[in-house]
This record gives sequence, structure tokens and C-alpha cells, in this order.
Amino acid sequence: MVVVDIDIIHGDHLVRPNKSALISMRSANLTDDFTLLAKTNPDASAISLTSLLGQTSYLLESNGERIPIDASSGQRSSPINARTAESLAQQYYTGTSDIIKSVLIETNPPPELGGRSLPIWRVDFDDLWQTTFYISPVTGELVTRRHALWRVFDFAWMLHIMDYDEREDVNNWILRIVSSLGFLLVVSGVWYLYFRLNLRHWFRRAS
Amino acid sequence: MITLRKFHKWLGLAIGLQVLIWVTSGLIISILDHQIVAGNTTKIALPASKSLGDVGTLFPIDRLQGIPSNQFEAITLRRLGDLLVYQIDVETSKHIYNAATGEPVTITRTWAERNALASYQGKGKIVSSNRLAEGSPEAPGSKPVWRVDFDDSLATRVYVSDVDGRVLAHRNRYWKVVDFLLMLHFMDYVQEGSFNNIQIIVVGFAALWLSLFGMLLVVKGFTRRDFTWRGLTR
Repeated sequence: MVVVDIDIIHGDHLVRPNKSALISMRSANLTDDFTLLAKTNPDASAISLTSLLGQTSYLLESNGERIPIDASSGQRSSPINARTAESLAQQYYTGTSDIIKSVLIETNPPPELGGRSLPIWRVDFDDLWQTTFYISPVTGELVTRRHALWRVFDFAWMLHIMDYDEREDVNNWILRIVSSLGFLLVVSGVWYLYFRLNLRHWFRRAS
Repeated sequence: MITLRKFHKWLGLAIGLQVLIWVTSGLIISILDHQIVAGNTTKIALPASKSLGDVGTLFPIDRLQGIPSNQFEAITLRRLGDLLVYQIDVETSKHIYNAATGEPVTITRTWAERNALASYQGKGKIVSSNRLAEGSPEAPGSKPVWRVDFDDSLATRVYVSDVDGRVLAHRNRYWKVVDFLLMLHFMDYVQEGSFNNIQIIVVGFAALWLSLFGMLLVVKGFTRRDFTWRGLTR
């Protein structure tokens, strides 16, 4: 766990640094758009103007859901399809390997997603590291990425904290008992060494 | 074999202290309730953010003053407490403006305390609040940052963003203990917040060699006689 740099575990090297497209403050009349969107969606908790998939878009947040709206047409953008998900994945990916398959996960998320919201596109690459990119069908952003070293690290973490189910509870009783025994083992070793080296005698002579 | 055994012995002495530190720090961390350490027992899971409701007349975005760039990553209209605000994200910074008047919003002490209190459940009351210009190692990555102290038994302090008043973290005395233990556990003596340092890699390999060779010695060290009554009581 300590030898491989944590940034590599996180898969930073697999992802092209993403420069999100910038939008000019003077483009169109933004204030009118915001006013109109707020009037027609009073339940929304936030309205953002940003660049999604290279298009200037509004993103409404409403009841935990995110709704993308194309800024030029004012229409709700449709969720991205497999082909778009794959081409986005290729754009984010620093490698040259091909994509093996892409699947839209709508139920039963794999544990390695760690509770991120569904649905989500899973795109698998045909590389040495079995790289997987997870892409949001709503915004097209790279939500997270996983690869062999991450999976090995996660497995080692499970062994480390001895939570063989969820891999996240550091307060489980197996760990508490085993680390108590380990503590006793090490302390008894120190104690044994104390007598073995006759340190009491040494200390007495020194004082 | 003799020399390897000798090497094993001396290496054991050298690595022994760190093994004691690993086992002790790990034991304490597994005993301390992670929910308390992480501040989850004092933090209220925030309710869904407030809806925009009636926004009235919005201040023209192109007339906002003091944004360092004409190019932005995102403009967001949302509520900050009861106030309707614009949040402008440019490449390097975030800026908050009152969406009705166009004035920049700064997080005052009152505001920081109100947000800290709104995120807090427990018996404590606020005893002090400070704006830390240099940030805090307890909430890395935000500078300046507000620290709001409560007088509960955990000595809870809530860190609040100076940019938008967001509650960043709940910290307490147990968090502090675990933070120190993790520093020892990771051998991260320069506090760079990483366990990929050279000392832990070297000591880690040494400990791995010790345990593998130790297992070999255990197998070789036991004889059939050790497993008899006479052997056990010898």
C-alpha cells in the first residue's frame, strides 16, 4: 500500500487534465435567461450556466436531480448514449487502447463505485490495467475511474482493516481483538528482551 | 543460516520500535469510534438546499464588479442562507455576489457562526470564532478559513469557508489524537499528508522480510518434542 504512489492508485495518470471550456461573460443576455429559468422552475435549488459536452448549457438542480438544458435551444438535453459515452471516455483517456465495452448501469452498482448516484456509464478499456471509466449520462463528466492497482489497493485495505464485508468499518471487533493480541505480542517481546538482556542489572549499575 | 539468523535478530531490534508504534496506533484507532472522530455525531446531515422561490429582479450579470476575468467556468444562481446569490467560478477562484444588489458577499463572523450552529447538534454553545488568515492544518486547502469553537465535551470546532460560508468540517479532540496517531502510523514526520514516503517503504520491506524469515524460523525452531506434554513443561 505504501510503495505505489497514491496518485497512481487514484488513476490520475490515466486521465487527461481536463480544461473545461470557458464561457464569455458577454455572451448573450445571461440575466434574462436566469430570470426566465428561475420563474419557470421555482422549485430548483440552483441554476448553473456552464459548458457541458462543449455546449453552453444550463444545469438545473431540483430535488436532488440535475437537469441539463441546452442554452441555445432552451430544450432539455437528452442523456448521452453509448456512442457519446465511449467517445468522451476516449477523450478523457491518456492511453491508446481500445474500448472493450460500455454498459449503462441502472441498478446494482458495483462496490467500487462507492455509492455514487445512478444511472452511470461504465466504459472498459482493453489495457494492461483493466481501466474502467465511469461517466455521467447527464453531464458527460468523468465521475471516477478504476484500474487494477486501485482494486489491489482496495483488497489490501480490506485485509488491513479486517472488514471483509464493506471494507470501511475500522471499528470492527475482529480488528480490535486481533490488534489487541498483536499489541500484547509486541509488548511481551519487549518485556522478554528486558529480562533477556538483563537490563535491570544495567540500569542499577548505571544509577 | 547463522548469519541470516543474526541479521534477523538485529533487524528485529531496529524495526521493533516501529512495529510497536504501528500496533499501538492501529489498536487505538480501531478502538476510538470513527463516527465521533470524523465529527459525524455533532454534524447534522444537511437538508436539501433551499429552493430558489421568487427571485424578483436579478442584478445584470455583466455589470458585476471585481471579477478577475471575463471568461468563466460556471455561473450559479442559488441561495446562501436566505440570501439569493450569484456564484461566479473563474479558473482560479470563486466569487459570491448578492444577486439582487450586485454587491460582493463577504462571510462575516455572524454568518460563519450561524452556519456553524446550523450544522451542529449537541449540547455545546459557541465560545469563540476566529478568521484564520493562514488557514488551518485541521481543514487543509481553504485559506483563509473560519474556525468556530464549541464548549462541548469533545471540544468541537467547526470550520467554515471564508468564500461561501459552507461548512467544511467538524473537528474535535479525538480527531486530533487520531491525526497524530496517523502521522506516526504513516511515519509522515514532515506532515505532508502522505504515506508514500521513503522511510515507511524501507521499514515496510524490512518488516516484511522479518515476518517471512520469522515464519521460517518458527517452522525450523519447533521440534516434535515441543508438541508433547514433556516438551510443553520443559
